[in-house]
Amino acid sequence: MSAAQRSNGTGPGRARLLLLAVAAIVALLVIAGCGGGSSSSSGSSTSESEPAETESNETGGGAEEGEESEAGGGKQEGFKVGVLTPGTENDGSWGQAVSEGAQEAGEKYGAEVTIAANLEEPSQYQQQGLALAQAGYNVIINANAAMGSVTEELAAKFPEVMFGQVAVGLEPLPENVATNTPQLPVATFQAGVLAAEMSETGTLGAIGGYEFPALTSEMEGFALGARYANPEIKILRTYINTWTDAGKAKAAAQAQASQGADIIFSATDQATQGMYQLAEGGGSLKYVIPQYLDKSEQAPNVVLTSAVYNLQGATGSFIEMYGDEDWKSENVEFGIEDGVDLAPNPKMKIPAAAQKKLEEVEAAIESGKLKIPTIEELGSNESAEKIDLKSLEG
Amino acid sequence: MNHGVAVTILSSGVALAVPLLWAAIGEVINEKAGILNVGIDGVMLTGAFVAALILHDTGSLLLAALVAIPAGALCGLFLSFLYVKRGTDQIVTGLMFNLFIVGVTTALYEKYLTSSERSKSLSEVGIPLLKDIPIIGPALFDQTVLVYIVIVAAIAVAYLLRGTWFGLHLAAIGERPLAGDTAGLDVRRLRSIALVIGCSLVAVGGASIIVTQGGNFQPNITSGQGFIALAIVVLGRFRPGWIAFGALLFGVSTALQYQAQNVSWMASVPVQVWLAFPYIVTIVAVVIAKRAQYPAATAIPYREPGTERS
Repeated sequence: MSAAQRSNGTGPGRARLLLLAVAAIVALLVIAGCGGGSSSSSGSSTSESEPAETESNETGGGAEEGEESEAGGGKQEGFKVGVLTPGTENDGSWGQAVSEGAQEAGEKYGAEVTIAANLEEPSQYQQQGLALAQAGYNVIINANAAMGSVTEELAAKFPEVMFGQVAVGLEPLPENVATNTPQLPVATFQAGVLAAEMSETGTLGAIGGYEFPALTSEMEGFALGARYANPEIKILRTYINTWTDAGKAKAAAQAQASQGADIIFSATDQATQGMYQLAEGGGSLKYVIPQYLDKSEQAPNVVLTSAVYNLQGATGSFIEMYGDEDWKSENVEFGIEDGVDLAPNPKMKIPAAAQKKLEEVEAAIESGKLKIPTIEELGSNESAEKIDLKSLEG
Repeated sequence: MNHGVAVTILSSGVALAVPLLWAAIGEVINEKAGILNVGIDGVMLTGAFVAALILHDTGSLLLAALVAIPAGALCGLFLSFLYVKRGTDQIVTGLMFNLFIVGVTTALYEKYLTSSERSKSLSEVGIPLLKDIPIIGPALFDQTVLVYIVIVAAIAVAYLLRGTWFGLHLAAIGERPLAGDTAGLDVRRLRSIALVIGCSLVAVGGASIIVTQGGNFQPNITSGQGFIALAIVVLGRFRPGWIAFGALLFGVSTALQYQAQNVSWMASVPVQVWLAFPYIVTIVAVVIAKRAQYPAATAIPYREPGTERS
């Protein structure tokens, strides 16, 4: 039968030629990749400059620059900064906030900023970080809260390179590492207060991307703030296991709306689009509260306010420390005075009573009268319900 | 539009099933002809990407949906070159195609598309009288036009496969290509045509994700829905009617998981279990459907007797 005759088609000579060609191409690629050079911002699933040799020449790469932090307060110029981030520079969300912060800070010092975007797996962060460090980058910023261990590993291998970690603190903290963790619940608490004041059904929703402490603390902060404003409030929580799927977000929002939620807090990225769609459709869902950037432009009629965490400042802080030759290896936390707050929607009219309550809460947080729990304390699902409201007023 | 919980589940379920259904009815044409197109996810992604690109450039939802057809046809041509003319291993080739498309679309997306703007998306269009039927009314008849069109398309594909000569020829070469060849059918040409038509429909499925969800492409936006469509085709015993039911099953279980996270007794089950729920349902359904068989000659490249590869 012809189906059984699977003849090879290429004779032995042809096959060898093909193999030779493939081997030659692979060799060329390896040589090109290892010839150094920084990776461009299209850092998708395969890292192009994957080192074929072992890490024996790491100190060679790092010390290449020579001018590391000298004593005396000078300013560095023209140094190289790499940012490892999920999302992209233009994703309208976390990736964009982080990139903007890095680029703004970098401009002040004439630094060369490279964004390695779209990184998801720990191995990708590792490879990309390795490549940047070997290529002589002075500052490498890891903008993924779940990848702290990668930062620690790289910092140990490259003691001459300064590492910044956004959104999670590290213990113990090596000398060449600094972290900056915006206290997410500080902003989402206020969002919860506003939402509770404005809700007509007494039910609110929170939709999150993935369940892990930093993300969960955003949602629980929201729930806590809502409870603070209205102890009778009901909060629905849904995780959709995606940052970007707007269809799933819409389905989740429909589910919450059918159970009475009229304002939903979105702890996702682009998936929020699905929620805007539903809210604009004229059903029972009235408002959406997005985060990371001021997103009022995206849906001016339904964005109640945006929760922002000054990711820009957090990312830029590492560049500034290095540029001012003032590197402090510390676990910094950004609070309300650093810009972790609400970004109001200029087109949204907030009733006077709600506005007043919000301002009271804001002032109380600033003065320290109201203590917002930390990310760790709010890191597990439904933890907001377990916190005694009176304990907040210190 | 204030619906009870059950209606919401159905309504969301139908909306979520649409991309799956488009992909599945395209794929059933391929598989009837004996081609196991594992590259279905890549074709969907291609359709989604070109739709997003056109939507971004022209702002026209209609154009965005339409452009997926030629894009899918091109994919079909490319795949037919590999599967049919070169006779490569279909499973490996399909997987490689998926990887290739993910890489290309992600790279192009980073260069040309942005996600911080909002584009339009299709709004629901209710069919006057029908949508007031209790429960099924809002679920089936108050949806975007793509829902109505895909139902028509499914019926058309069913007719194509069982009521036309083309469909019968496809069935023949899917089972016994040698017999078809002896009877005078050009097996390779028929398979190529099947691939072109099938992949066009699959690409429309990808475009439907973009057009109904705010127009923003994301890397790997199909997130494996192509593979779910493959499962649905088998589940549906290669009959568009049953396939539609399978797509609905998956869509509804996806919608159900979001309700479940907040409804009393169901909420005490860990979130992760609910998130896995649609996939568990699919696996269970495929296991139950064990009597479904692929056409006998699926995934075997066809060689005319007496020919040898040059």
